[in-house]
Amino acid sequence: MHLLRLDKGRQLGRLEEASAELAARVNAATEELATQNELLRRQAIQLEQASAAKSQFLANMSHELRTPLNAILGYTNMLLQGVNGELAATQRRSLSRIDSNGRHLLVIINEILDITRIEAGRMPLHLSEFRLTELVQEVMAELDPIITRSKLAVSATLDVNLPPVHSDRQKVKQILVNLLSNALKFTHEGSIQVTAVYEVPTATLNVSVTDTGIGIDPIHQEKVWEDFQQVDSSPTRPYGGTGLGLSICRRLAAMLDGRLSLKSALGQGSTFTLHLPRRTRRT
Amino acid sequence: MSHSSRSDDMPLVLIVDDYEDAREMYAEYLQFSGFRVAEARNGLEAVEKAFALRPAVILMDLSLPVMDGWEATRRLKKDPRTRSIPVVALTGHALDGNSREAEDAGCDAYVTKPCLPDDLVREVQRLLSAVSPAA
Repeated sequence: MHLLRLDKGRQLGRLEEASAELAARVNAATEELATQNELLRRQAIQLEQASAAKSQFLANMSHELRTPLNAILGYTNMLLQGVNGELAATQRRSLSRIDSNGRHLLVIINEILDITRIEAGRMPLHLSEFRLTELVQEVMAELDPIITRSKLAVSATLDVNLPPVHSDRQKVKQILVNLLSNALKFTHEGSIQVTAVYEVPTATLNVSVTDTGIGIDPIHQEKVWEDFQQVDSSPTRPYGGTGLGLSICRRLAAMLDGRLSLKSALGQGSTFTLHLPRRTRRT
Repeated sequence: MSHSSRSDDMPLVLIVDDYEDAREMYAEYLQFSGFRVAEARNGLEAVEKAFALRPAVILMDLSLPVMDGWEATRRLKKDPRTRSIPVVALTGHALDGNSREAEDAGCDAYVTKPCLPDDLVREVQRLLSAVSPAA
């Protein structure tokens, strides 16, 4: 009896001790948690500021790059037009090289800038009503010099019953120019077909660019939508570019409430499709 | 090869840009295309020259020292003497944001740099054919 009580008292003491220790640990843990939370909050703010600073830097940088490029492209254009007199064939060829390389540089700068603008949430939407048929013709006309040089059979088959689209014309154009340029870049022989059909139940316009080019292995198909990624991004890669084109297109399509899809296999050509809702809602 | 006949009936274009190489490039090409040209290096100079010369079209860079292009355009659009002169906003700065801001200031057209000289001249011709030649 006596022993039992003594034992109970000891046990109670231990229990109290343990309880106090537990309370202390909980307090310490809570404090630690609060400190960590505060730290995370501060880091989140810092990250946000760093990201905003990066966007601003890239935007400024792009301005600084475009200003001299404007003069380079402009004066080249004037010389090619004979503003300062007629040119010899060799001079014309050299100037054309400056011109095409300058334009290529501009594409790269614009791609970097686009990503920056989208990430900063500063890519405005300009919605209007337009016809896809005219837009596709415009895109083909713009790429005509490259199409002619490629010696590929490039054709467009557009459903005659395509309804007018309410979307951002410039962005849809940018996506289509990109898809067609890619098809031209990665196809060495055969054909490229642009098709557009209207899917009534979902009120979606599906615009596809199908090529007979090198194709993309299914294991690499996720990669092509990521920033700065190409199927081969190695320094010795056979195809140039920033690896930003498709990731920009994917983001632009999402801004328009649409999406892009890809069907391809190595050596079997590729089909890229833009699924565009008939009406883009302003968000 | 003096293409520009420089007779007084050729439309006068006021080109406003603080970057000399771009300003002179566009000026040279406009003259080559038969226009008369005046130049300004900032917004204040642009407003003063516009009042004095009454150009047919104004090409206005937006990022300018002293007075920026938006403010200069607002002043020109507020004054009855210069209100009807079309203003083409020219910008190379992407985060200058959008054409809507330029429109709000009263710009009639919006062009992003790099802009090739012949594209710019086409824009000028388009605007001139849209407004009455007597304006």
